[in-house]
Amino acid sequence: MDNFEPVTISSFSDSKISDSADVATLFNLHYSRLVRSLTVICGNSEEAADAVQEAFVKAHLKWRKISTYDDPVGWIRRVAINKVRDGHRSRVRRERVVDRLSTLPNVTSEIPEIDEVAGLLATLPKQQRAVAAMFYVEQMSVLEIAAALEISDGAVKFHLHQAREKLRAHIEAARANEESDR
Amino acid sequence: MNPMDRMDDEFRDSDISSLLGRVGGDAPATNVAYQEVLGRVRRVRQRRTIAATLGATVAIVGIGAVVIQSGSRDSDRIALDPRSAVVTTPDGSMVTTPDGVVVTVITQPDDSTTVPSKPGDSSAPTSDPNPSTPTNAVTSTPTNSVSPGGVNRPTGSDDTTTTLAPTTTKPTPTTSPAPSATKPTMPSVPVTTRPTTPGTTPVVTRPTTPVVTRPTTPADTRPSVPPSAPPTVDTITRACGAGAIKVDVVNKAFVVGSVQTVVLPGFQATITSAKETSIEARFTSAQGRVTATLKVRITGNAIKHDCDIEVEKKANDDDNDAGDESSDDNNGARADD
Repeated sequence: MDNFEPVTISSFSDSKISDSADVATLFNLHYSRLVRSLTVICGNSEEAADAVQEAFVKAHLKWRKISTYDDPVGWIRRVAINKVRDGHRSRVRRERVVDRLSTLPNVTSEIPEIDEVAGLLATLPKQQRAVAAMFYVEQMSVLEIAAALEISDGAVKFHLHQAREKLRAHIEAARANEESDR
Repeated sequence: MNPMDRMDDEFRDSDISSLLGRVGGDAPATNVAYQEVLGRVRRVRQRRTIAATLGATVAIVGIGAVVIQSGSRDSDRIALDPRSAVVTTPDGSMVTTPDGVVVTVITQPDDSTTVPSKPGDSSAPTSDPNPSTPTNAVTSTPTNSVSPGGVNRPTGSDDTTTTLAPTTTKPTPTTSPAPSATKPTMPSVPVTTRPTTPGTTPVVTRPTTPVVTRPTTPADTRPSVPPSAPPTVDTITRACGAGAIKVDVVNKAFVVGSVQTVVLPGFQATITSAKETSIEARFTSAQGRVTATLKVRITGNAIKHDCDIEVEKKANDDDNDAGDESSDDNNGARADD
């Protein structure tokens, strides 16, 4: 699954090594999952990575306080999701990301199925996208999603049901097309 | 099985998980991303440090400006180090005090003393090949009036004491190496000093420039009284009979050396006693027939004086001249009374 690479923390002073080590451990464990989940939510891996990194920067600067929370990762996730939703990044950085993406190889042409799914996800309400991404990508439970999004578990199940119905319909349609092609 | 897991299981779908996993893409490079996070953290901390430093600097500068403005109005014109009584300027050459006294630091290469000065003052010598020859001297040139002994006042007050150049000598074209001073004759002419070579005239000044010079040694440059607390000098005059005395009072004490007497023609004044707390003077006529004794004393915060006049009765067998003089004296005494 995730590439777990050791993180060098030698650049920090001794007094901050413990905090930095905690953050580094947290980063190694959750960064990939958060980025992939937010990529599903926002449809842009660069934007997702930027939001997650920004959330980890905040966590790093406030680690003394955040480390006392019951779920520091949940706090980081909420910050990242809020960043994606509210569009905190400046316009310049947004344009830079767009330019960078435009220089990348044309991913959509190589994997048309993913492009179709991304288009389908874009049609889903943002709450359904978030719930589906957390449940199917991050493998979170309903209660964890409810706590992360600060909504009830019933609302999570409702959004999850709606998203699954649409995605399931897409998958069934795709399979029907494959069988017809054969 | 946990009921919550059963609740989640109703939504589990491997197809959807695989599909969304592919949409999410491959796992990003964690190490590179973490280095980028560390870089952002570093930049944020640097910005915070710079902001804090700038704020502290602005606060310190502001406080310093307020202190300087309130503490010394003339700090931009003269800087007097109370420990060494050396007047320094940015260029180390000459300053003008608020009361018009031009002070010039004269430096000679063969100076035996080292005057504390600013690090950048190249005129301050550090070695002394000829200890008997003073090379560093402070020259004071009053421009408006003759200050007693070349007074250097940091605040322009008239009550400050002399810290430099206590002696006064005649102005000469060349400044003698010995302690000397010149009587001021030309106001508002600053002292011109030039560095001299060893063996030649130490300092060349304009002939008409009033110069009060005194070689400065570390012991001499110590101010006798801190410039910030000048004593109050009051001059009182008390009259008795045909004479009067005038004396300076400093800190509720008479300045013994400042007692002056004034008498009418034909009388003589004698200071019989001069102490810090009391002064007694006697005014006697030429023939000694009239004697006025004046006693001035300081009692607490008050200055009191007593005046006793004695008229000696002459015998009838005195000659006419003596009688005439007696008559004159009596008239004078009565007039004084």
